[in-house]
Amino acid sequence: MNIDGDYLWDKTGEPDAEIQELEEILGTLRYQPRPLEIPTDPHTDSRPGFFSGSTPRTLAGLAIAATLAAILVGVGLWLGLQRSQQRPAPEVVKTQNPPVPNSGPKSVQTPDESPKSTLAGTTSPPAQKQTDEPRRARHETRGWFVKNPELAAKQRREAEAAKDQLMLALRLASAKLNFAQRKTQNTNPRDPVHNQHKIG
Amino acid sequence: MYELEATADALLMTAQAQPSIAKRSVESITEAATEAALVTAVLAGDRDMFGRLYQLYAPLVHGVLLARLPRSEVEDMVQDIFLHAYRKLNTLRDAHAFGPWIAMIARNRAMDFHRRSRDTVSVDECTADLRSVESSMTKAEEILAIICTLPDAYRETLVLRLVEGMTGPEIAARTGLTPTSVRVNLHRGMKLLRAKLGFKEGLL
Repeated sequence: MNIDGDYLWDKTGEPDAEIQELEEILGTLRYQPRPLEIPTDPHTDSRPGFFSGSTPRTLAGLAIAATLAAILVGVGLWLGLQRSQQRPAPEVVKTQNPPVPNSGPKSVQTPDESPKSTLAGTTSPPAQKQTDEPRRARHETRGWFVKNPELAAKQRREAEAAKDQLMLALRLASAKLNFAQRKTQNTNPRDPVHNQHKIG
Repeated sequence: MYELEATADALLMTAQAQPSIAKRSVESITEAATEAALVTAVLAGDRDMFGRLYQLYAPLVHGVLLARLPRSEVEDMVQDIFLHAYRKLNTLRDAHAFGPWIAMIARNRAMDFHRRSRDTVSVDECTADLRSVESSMTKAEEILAIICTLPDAYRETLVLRLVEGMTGPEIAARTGLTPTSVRVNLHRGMKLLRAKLGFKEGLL
C-alpha cells in the first residue's frame, strides 16, 4: 500500500502501472473546457435576504420570540373576549319567582294556631332563595338568559372578529416557525461533507 | 493576508525535511485565498472573475456529477450549476468555502435528478444499462460503470483522482473533505475497484 500509496495520493513516488493505465483510459472522459454563458440579466439577488446574515442561533431566537409573541397575542385576545362576555347584559329577562308568602313572625296568628306551626313557617323557603340569588345573577350576566337578538348578533360578530385575528396571528407564527426551521436545517451543509467517508 | 503569509512561512520553516508537503500546504492556502478574493470580486460586481472561478472548479463539479449521473446529462448540468451558483453567490457565507459549497450543490442536483426521474433512470439502473450494452461501450465507460457501483464517497473521490486527474490534496482542498478522509476513500475505493476489475479479466 505504501509503494503505490504515495502515487495514488499525490502522484509522487514510484508510479503504479495499473493506476497509470486507469488514469490513461479514464482520462478520455475528463472535463472538456466549455465557455460559460452567463446571461446578461441572470436575476442576481444583490440584496441579501432577510435571514441571510443570521446565524442558526439567531434564527432559533427569532423563532422562539415569534412563538411567544403569538402566544401573548392569543392569550390577550382570549382574555378580551372573556371580559366582553362577562359584561352585564343590559336587558335581562327576569325570572318570574312567585312571591312566597311571608310566613315570618309578622304573620297573623289565629288564636287556634299552636306555637309549633309558627316555628315551621320561619325556617323553610326564604333561606334557600337567598343562596340561589347570586348563582342566578351570575348566569344572567354571562348572557345565558339574554333575549335581545341584536345584542347577541353584535357579540357574535365581535367574537368572530377576535377569532379571525387570533387565527391570523397563529398562522403567521406558524409560517415564521416553518421558515426558521427550514433556514436552520439548510445552514449546516458541511457535516455531510466531513462525514462522507463514513457513508460507505 | 499577513496571517496567510506568516502561516506559509512557518510551514516552509518547519517542514524542511518534507519540502513537498510544505509546498502543497502553501499551494492550498494560496488557492483558498485566491478563491475568497475571486468570490469577493464577483460579489462586488466583477462578472469576469466568475469565469475564473468556473475554470478552477468546473472539473470538480464535472467529477462530482460524473460519479452520480449518466454521462449524457453531465455537461449541461455543469453549466446549470454554475449559473445557479452565480445567482445565489450572495448566500455563500464563507468566501473561502466556494468549492465545498458548489460541490454540495452538484450533489444535491444529482439527487434531485434521480428523485425526478426515479421511474426511468437511477444510478444502479444506469450501471445495469451500461452493462447490458457493454459491447457498444468504450473501455473508459466500462470502467466508469464499475466505479459507479462503488459506495458514494469512494466513487466521487476515485473519479476526481482518476478521471479529472486531481491529486489527493487538491481533492481535499476543493471539496472541503479532510485530507485523511480523502486518503482513506482513495485507498479503500481503489482496493474495491481492483477487486472488481479482477473479476473482469482483459479489461485492463
